[in-house]
Amino acid sequence: MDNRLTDALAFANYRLTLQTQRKNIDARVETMLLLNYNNSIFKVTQSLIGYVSSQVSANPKQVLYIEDSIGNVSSIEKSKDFLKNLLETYNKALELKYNEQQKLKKARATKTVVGAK
Amino acid sequence: MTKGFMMFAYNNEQIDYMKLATVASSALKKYMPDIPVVLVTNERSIKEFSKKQSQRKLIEKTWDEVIMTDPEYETNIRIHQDGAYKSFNAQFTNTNKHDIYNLTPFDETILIDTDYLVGSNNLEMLFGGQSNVAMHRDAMNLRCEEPYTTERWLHYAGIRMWWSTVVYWRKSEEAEHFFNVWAHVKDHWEYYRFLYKFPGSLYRTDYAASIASHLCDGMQDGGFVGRIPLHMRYQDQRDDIIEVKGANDWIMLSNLPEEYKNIAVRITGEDIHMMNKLSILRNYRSIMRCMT
Repeated sequence: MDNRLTDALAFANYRLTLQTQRKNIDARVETMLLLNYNNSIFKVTQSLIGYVSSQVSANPKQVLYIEDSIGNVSSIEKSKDFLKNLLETYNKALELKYNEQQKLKKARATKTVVGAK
Repeated sequence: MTKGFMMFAYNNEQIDYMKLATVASSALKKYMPDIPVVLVTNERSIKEFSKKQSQRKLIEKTWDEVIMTDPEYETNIRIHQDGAYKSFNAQFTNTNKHDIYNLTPFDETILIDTDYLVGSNNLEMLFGGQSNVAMHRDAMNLRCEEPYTTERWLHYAGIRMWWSTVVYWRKSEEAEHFFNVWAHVKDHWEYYRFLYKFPGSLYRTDYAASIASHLCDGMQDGGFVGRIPLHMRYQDQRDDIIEVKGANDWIMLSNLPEEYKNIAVRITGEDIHMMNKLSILRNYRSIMRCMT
């Protein structure tokens, strides 16, 4: 096969591997964004953090009613503590995503994308 | 409330399920060390596994309890693939999976298949949750793509599939109904196979559990079974392990029928259903080294 074609196909394989790895980072981050609180599992999102934060600012002692990841409503009495947990979970997940993306930016070959020997 | 994990392991001529169970249990012990793990197996499998002294010692270390039960032999031949180029037939002993409800010593149990390797403590979240029964509804392969339609639906005009790879339940009236109906479906497999119109004659517990869920829910999809959050990540039988980087860090080969699309994939920090069982067994030593 013509070298130019071989190189182009190798590059295509690199692009596919890179794109899949990006998706895999997202998948891992998704699992890290799960928070188990009050016997319910919440998916931590910016909007959930924003909503809880505004409730805490307006009335820190108010009981919050929040839908969990499968739509069941959970009553949360310690809203401040809940907010703290949401923020911790979110920051940890996004920090990992940032670090992994930085690693990927430097990877210019298929082998380095997956970190193979 | 007591809680714990359970798994079945029945060896056959081709696949050493005891070794697979050792890997799966070691992963559970690594990421959720405080939760007991119970093995359900038979004399033959234990005998084969105990031939080596080092493995005999592993039994005590790996499982908190071993329950012996031998299901009646029923021919259930499954075609397995080992990567893209090799396939083989093997007896699949899964006909007593629903019996787990009566075998469990726990109030809350998570039953996992021996090829499901945890890489996090996410499953712990299910204990004490709001569902009495929970399973995975969605799955995602190494490329973050959904499985084929036949792995999502029992029939194109039929019901959605629940994966029985991980089953959580709390001892309750609902869970008891669920497992009783599962047993009934298994006993009348030919009839339900015809009624729900799925192909093949292999007894698949995914299908039996999906039908049981549908029947218990009043023949609808109304939330009788709780969804385990997010997807179940799986390595297809066509895929393989290239390198074991750590206990939850894998470089895999994702194979497609079009060879030029084959790629290497790195999976880190996730629980993963390794459908190519022989790929685990080939890397048994290096995986076990990472687990300890």
